[in-house]
Amino acid sequence: MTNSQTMKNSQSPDVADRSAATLIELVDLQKHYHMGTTTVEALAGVNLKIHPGEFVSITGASGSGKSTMMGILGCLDRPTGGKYFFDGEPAGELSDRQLAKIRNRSIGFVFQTFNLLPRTSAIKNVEVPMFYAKRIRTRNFALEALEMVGLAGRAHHVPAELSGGERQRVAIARAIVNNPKLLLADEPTGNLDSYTGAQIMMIFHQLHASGVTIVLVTHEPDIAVQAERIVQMRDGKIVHDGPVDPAKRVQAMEETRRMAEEKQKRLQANS
Amino acid sequence: MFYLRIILTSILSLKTNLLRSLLATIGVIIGVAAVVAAMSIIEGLTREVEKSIESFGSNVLQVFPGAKRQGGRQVGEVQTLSIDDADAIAAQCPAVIRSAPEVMGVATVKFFNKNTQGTVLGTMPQYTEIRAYNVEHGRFFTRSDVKSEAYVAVLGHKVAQELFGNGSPLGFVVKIQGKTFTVIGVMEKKGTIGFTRVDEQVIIPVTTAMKRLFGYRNIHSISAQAKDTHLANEAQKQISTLLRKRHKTPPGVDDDFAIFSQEQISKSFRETSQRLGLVFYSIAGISLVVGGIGIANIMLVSVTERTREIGVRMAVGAQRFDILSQFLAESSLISVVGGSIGVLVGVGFSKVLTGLSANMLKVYVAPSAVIIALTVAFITGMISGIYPAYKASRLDPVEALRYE
Ligand SMILES: Nc1ncnc2c1ncn2[C@@H]1O[C@H](COP(=O)(O)OP(=O)(O)OP(=O)(O)O)[C@@H](O)[C@H]1O
Ligand SMILES: [Mg+2]
Repeated sequence: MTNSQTMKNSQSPDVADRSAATLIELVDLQKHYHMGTTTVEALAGVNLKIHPGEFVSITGASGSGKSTMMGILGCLDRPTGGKYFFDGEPAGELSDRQLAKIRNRSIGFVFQTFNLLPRTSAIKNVEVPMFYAKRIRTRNFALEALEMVGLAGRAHHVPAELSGGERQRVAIARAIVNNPKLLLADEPTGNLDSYTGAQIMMIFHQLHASGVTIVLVTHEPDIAVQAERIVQMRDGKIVHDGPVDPAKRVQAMEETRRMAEEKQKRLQANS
Repeated sequence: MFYLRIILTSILSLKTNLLRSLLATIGVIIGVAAVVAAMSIIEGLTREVEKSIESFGSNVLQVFPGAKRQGGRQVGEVQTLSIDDADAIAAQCPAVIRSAPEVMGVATVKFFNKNTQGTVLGTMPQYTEIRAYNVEHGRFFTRSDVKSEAYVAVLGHKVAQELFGNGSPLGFVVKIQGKTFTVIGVMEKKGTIGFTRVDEQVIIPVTTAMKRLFGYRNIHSISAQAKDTHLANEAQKQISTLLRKRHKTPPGVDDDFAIFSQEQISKSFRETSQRLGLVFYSIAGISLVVGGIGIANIMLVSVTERTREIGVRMAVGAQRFDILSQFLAESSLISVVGGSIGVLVGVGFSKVLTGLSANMLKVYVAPSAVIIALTVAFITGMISGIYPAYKASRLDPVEALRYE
């Protein structure tokens, strides 16, 4: 169904310019906030293409517009100018209903602050996206997703009973449970120590290996270089966009793997 | 399935704030309790009274005395009913087959060391036919007993039982207000006639009651029996004409008596109970409005508190309509829970009332009252949830997620 819609909606004039293998395309994207008499240009003309299966890091100083861009990429927000094509569809022209559907089926979100539903067990949290997808028999899928992030044993714990790293893993399970094409993560390790962050990164690598497109915002250079490509922003614009040196990437990933394993060992030693 | 889950979700979120949710529903609880109690009391009353009204007899009219009035002002002396009036009604009104005078008084009835407080009715022999109320043992008094102002008494079923147990009272003497009466009969068990509990009554000749016992100069009422049920209205008109003539009431002056028929009593009862109902329902209505505002208020607080949750739900794909449904489900659920508590309170209150009245007021909890009350509570919750739910569904996802 999403495919047939894609075919229909992509009959715009510049269809030939975009390769079929573009998942995200931003064309002169702008987001202005009007605050009284002044205007904040959170995004001041962003051009960006991301292909399916890519792993992209976004870096930049605080206030440079990273989260604003993630909001638009995630179809949570609408640009005030320019165009955004998600999987060939002009997101700016879709209804709230269609955007909600895209968020539900095609995009997974991971936030810095986890954003789990409080007083709701891990497995119930993971079931929420399936609930809005009107899927039935969601229990097993939720368990599978929790297994994937190594938390099947915590399925019935509420967030207050989980550590930060565990909460973030529940959030990742929730993000992937509807098998999205795109995973958006806005500083997912920002609230975690580096060992716990390494565990989270290992999950992202695993997801990436399984074909999920990942866009990850981070302040930490060690994390940014684990992506295949780094996009750097300043004052609402992209100031640098280039591939990561594969050698550096491999090195950073090895370090991450080491830290994740160490953390795992420490946990096992404790229990 | 989806909506079942929405409801389950709202149960969960209400549970986490149980106390607050319940406090929010106090208005609904009171409103629903009032509706249920009102409907139960009125229904109970109606059932009791309708039974009494039926026992009154559809062809029986009762005439009561009243002052002669003109434009609300009393003119002339108080004309009252006499035994002659009662006789004249039977003799001169073609639609009336029988009529009997009645006087009442409360008296202590004694048999040796046992005594009981009873109502004494003074009347004529035709009373038994008019009220279809018969003697079980012995005999009723006769016209000559009336004429001779005899000291004879016919006991109501319960009076006989209380004074004599299972033994026969016939031929024994009882003391009524210190005067000695011979028991000549015992009436059948009847319960109530009209609003009178006849089983607790002692019946004696009207003349004896007036002259020897109470010293009344006038009678208290006249019971008249129409030839047929459909002649009741006709009989009423004839009695009215006759009494106005006998009392010399000039045209334009109000009757100095009042005639009641079963139809009339049930009509005026119905009016009274409707007015009573209106008062109850107004109270209930106001409580429900207040309750609705309470729920709307708590839902608004809840929407603000859960802004982030709403943002998260939207981020993972909730439609605006899904959010709307969830909050509507919550507000209706709160009020249905409140409503159910209200039903329990209302039923409990009615039961207590029945107990307090020593079972005289038999409250009847109609299932329809419960259903109506719960439906009204549900609708109240829906309506008061509309604005908060709408507000929740219109939140901007990004801003909701940023909300601290
Ligand atoms: N709702 C809003 N109203 C007004 N200004 C906003 C709003 N949201 C963001 N901004 C502004 O837009 C700019 C970009 O904000 P954004 O959150 O995208 O930055 P960021 O790169 O994610 O920063 P950080 O690294 O601190 O998260 C900031 O100057 C911010 O003040
Ligand atoms: Mg940010």
